[in-house]
Amino acid sequence: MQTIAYLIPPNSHFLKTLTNYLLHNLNLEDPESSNTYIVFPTKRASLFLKYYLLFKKKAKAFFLPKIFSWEDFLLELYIHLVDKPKILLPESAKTMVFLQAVPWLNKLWKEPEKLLHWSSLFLEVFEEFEKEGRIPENLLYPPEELPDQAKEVFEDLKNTYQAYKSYQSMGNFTFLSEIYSELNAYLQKETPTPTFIKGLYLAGFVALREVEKKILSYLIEKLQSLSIPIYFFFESFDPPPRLIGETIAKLELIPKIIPSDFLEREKLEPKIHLISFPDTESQIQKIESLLSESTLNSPDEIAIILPQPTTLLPLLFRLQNFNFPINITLPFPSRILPLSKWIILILKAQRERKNNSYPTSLFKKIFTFPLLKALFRQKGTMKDLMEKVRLVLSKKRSLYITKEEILKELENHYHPHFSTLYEILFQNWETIDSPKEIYQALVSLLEFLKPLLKDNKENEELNSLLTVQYVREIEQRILPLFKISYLWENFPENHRNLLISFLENLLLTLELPLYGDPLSGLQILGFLESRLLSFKRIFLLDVNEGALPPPNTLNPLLTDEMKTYLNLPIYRNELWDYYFDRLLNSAEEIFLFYIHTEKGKSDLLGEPSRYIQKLKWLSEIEKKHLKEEAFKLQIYNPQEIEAIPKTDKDVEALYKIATERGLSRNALETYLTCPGKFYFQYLLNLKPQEELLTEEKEIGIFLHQFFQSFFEPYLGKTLRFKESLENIPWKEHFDQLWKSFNFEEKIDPLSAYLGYKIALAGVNKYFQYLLNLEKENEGADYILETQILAIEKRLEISAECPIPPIKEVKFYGIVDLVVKRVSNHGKQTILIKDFKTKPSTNTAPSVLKNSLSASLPQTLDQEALSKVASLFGSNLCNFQLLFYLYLLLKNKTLFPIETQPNRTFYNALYVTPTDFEEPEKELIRNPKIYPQVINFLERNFQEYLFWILRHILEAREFYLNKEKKVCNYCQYEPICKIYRRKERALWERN
Amino acid sequence: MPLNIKIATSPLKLLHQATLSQRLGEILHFCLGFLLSNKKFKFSDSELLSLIEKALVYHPYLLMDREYFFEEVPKFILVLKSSPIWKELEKLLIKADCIYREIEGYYYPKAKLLRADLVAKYKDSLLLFEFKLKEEDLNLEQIELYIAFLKALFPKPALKVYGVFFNPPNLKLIKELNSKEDHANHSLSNTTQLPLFKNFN
Repeated sequence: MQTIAYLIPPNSHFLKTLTNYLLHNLNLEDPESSNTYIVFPTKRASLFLKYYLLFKKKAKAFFLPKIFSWEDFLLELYIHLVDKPKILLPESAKTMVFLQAVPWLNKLWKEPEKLLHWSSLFLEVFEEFEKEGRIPENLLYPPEELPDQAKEVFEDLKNTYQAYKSYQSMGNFTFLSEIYSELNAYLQKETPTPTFIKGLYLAGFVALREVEKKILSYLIEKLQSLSIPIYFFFESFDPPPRLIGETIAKLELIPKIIPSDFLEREKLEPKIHLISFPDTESQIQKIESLLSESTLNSPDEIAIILPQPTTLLPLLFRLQNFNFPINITLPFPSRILPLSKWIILILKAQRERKNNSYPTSLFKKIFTFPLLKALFRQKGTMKDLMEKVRLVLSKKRSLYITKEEILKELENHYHPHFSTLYEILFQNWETIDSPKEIYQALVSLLEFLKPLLKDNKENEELNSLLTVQYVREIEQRILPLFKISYLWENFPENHRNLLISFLENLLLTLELPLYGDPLSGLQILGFLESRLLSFKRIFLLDVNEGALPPPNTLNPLLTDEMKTYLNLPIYRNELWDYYFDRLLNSAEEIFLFYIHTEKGKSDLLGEPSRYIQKLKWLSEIEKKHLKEEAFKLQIYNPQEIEAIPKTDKDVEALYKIATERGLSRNALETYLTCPGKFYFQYLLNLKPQEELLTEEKEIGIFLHQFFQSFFEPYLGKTLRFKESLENIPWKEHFDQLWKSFNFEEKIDPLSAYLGYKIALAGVNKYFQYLLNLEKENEGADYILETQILAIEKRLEISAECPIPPIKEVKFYGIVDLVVKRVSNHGKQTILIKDFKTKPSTNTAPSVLKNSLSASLPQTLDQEALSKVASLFGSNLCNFQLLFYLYLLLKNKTLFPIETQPNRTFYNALYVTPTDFEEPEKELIRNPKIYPQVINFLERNFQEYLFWILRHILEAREFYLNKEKKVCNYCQYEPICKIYRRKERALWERN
Repeated sequence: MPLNIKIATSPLKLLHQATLSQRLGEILHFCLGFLLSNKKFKFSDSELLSLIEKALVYHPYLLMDREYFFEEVPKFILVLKSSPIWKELEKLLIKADCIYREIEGYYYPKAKLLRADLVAKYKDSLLLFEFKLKEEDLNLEQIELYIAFLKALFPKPALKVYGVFFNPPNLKLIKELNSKEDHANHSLSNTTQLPLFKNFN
């Protein structure tokens, strides 16, 4: 008696038709029906069948047959038929077993990445053989292009395979993917009878590998001999496609079309929409608009099928606007999850560690990772500690950092907390020498993160849901590997790098097997997960070459040529062609989305899938109309807001700043440059994005400190550079200070060398300049002596404020150096010196002259502010020196003069040592305008300051300076960009 | 609005979402169910160990706790086997026409999927066995649901419901319904054995 294979057309609703058949042929009121097995290739199909059985069976109570996926059914067979089942290990343990068996373990173990890479490739070769139920044979002449080690393994392939299996056998374990071959071998040997099966219905299979055919043939034979019903159901039109036809022939089945009484629906011509998109985001946008017109009364109404799992996250982001439940069933790449990224960073730090020190940037990334911040969100010691460490790391600026260096900068009461964190994130991983230690380090890390892992409740945030799933997978599939000592027996000692590489490899390749349960709502599926399912409406995204059909995974050991040598079957894309065709026919309406971009020099190519081309070609041949459209991208260029509106709260805060803190030079300059920046920095107190200090800036800071420390011993004293420079070993001091800056750790050696030379030359040149000032010159002025009056001095003035209700306002600033130069003619000049890094920094004497007679605007708008700012030169080059000079003049008593006032002059200058030609740039260069400038500073400048203050307090908005040259160097540029648009969106909603 | 995502999960050991004793209960369920459904009242130690191995194939994530199960499961099963309860069970089951382990069914009035540990069918009666680690774990509402389900399918045969407990070993007749008893008025709770179709209604 031969077994029947029923053909069910895809457009008749495969599963419902099958359900109709089963309800007719099975007596579900009889408990014996619970020993009937219905087996599908996928878990999802089995879940849907159960759903349809419950839906269609109109009875008060009934039994259910056992509905399994093929994988679960094999496991069931294995458990029932095999007397002594083996231990089932996670798939990832295969690598360790393989490595125990290969001859080149000792040669390659120092290059763990290579080891792991090649072992995974060879394991695929073994898997191919097992699927064919064969033992690999040695390859006499492996291809020349393979590396020597790979050739070695191929020449000895059979022995390697047998060693691999023997090692497995000794450990008495197996893998899910090898259950086929285990079961097959057992059935051929022991021929047990599957008496627990009282009926077997195999539905939805397509192509069979040799070993699957053997198992099924065995079952057919045994069940037929016991007169137990066994049937096959194929989702296919008549005649069936080649692959199904081959399967039917291999199993010696009799194909029959399913009786029409069982068909769920009349053959349906699906409505196909073909839509091209410029990118993924627009695909999702279209789905959103189409879903908004939909209702969801059952889980087989709408499905979104994602050949590319990474499209899941942007899709879910949009689906937040909908209330219906969502089932997600696809393998999700865990490497994009924050926790995965963090653990990978921790492992990377171990690889890049040098003795006890870690690359500072990496250390910082780990310590400031958002997960850690989330853990210590609440106010307290840990939160403070995180901030302290962040500051220390920003300050340090060395290329490498140690625990001790950080501890040195922290107060004692932070030490135990920091040490605990350090232990979990770094120390535990430093001392790894065995799998047990990796296990413990990973468990400690996960235990530490426990507060972030909530229980899985309804409506839980997606990120935490996925994170919990991820930890679950680590618990179940990764941690056990490091506890099974048998897997690590033959490894050389001290295989630390291999352990870390192995763990990293496991984490990077870990996929979360998301499975929607309970069945409800919108179905989001991977392409393979959609097999056998029928929906009213399907959205199939990314129908592009490279996604559908997916590219063949590159295994250089399994090229078509290699498969020919090894006598393995070569499969083209027939299977994918079949799956696509059945999907197309299974739905009432299907939307095929594909990305189509124009070819260009640097554009990404979006090539529609061959299936799209085939569809178009077929519709032409059959003269069928295919609905095609291109997604109209609405180019939306949001206007940016001109200014940030000022609220009452802002005004209150501003008055408070003015009254309590006063205005520093920096605050005034910031406001003049961009009130928006002032808002971010002084009102929102946002920390600016941390600058990556350039070499130029590093050297600038060095020079600043050098001159400060050089002049410090002379504070309050007089010096003559000619004598001082001869007597002071300033070069040694320079070298000592340079060493203390640790430039070798911060920048590359060449830059450090050049920086040293430039800085030294700058200092030398500047000293030469100062020496020249003291050079006797007949008839002309020269400096007799210089007195150091102040170093890093804070100057301030509390001025009576004309803006009620503020009574007075403090203006202040810190000047680098105040000196008094005495000339040979008795002229005294009190000079403010400000050290600048950039050699191009300069004052604008012509602007200064014009500004003395300028009038202040009457309005308080953006134009007025720009006008006032322009009075101080481009980049406000005059403002700082004017402001300091103003403060100095208001604090004359701090620097008493001994000669006649009319022989005393005041000025301010920039010191730019790296400008070898003009290291000092004075504010007042023309003696003719000197009285005017001083008069301006003493009488009028304050008015300007209060005008600025009035603008700060009373302007309606915080204007945004959009000049590129200003924004490019602004540390708040990223925040400002978003803020401008976000603000607009908020306004629009209001 | 937060997403309403329904994804299948398994307990997270880290969060102590399932204790080892819960897992132990599952392994014991399997072993005892297998032995009784196959009427294997005599078995060797090695057969028991193979059985535990089979149970663990269903739960590969218990890999790290294998030693615990190989230690604990025999204790319970062998204690049960050496107690008078085992003889009682043998007496109850040896002549059954059919024994069904983990039989699954659907009860429409409550829209519940049910899975009974063991059902033994005789010509004129049915025996339902519920396995529990401890007697206090027994859920009477669940039992009532099973009774309603079986009575809907088999109104005539008598029905007896037994509890089989491991710790301490005990066999208890929980409910007995003769062939004439109408179960329609027994109250039923909303207990759900399986979460598959939670909102099926």
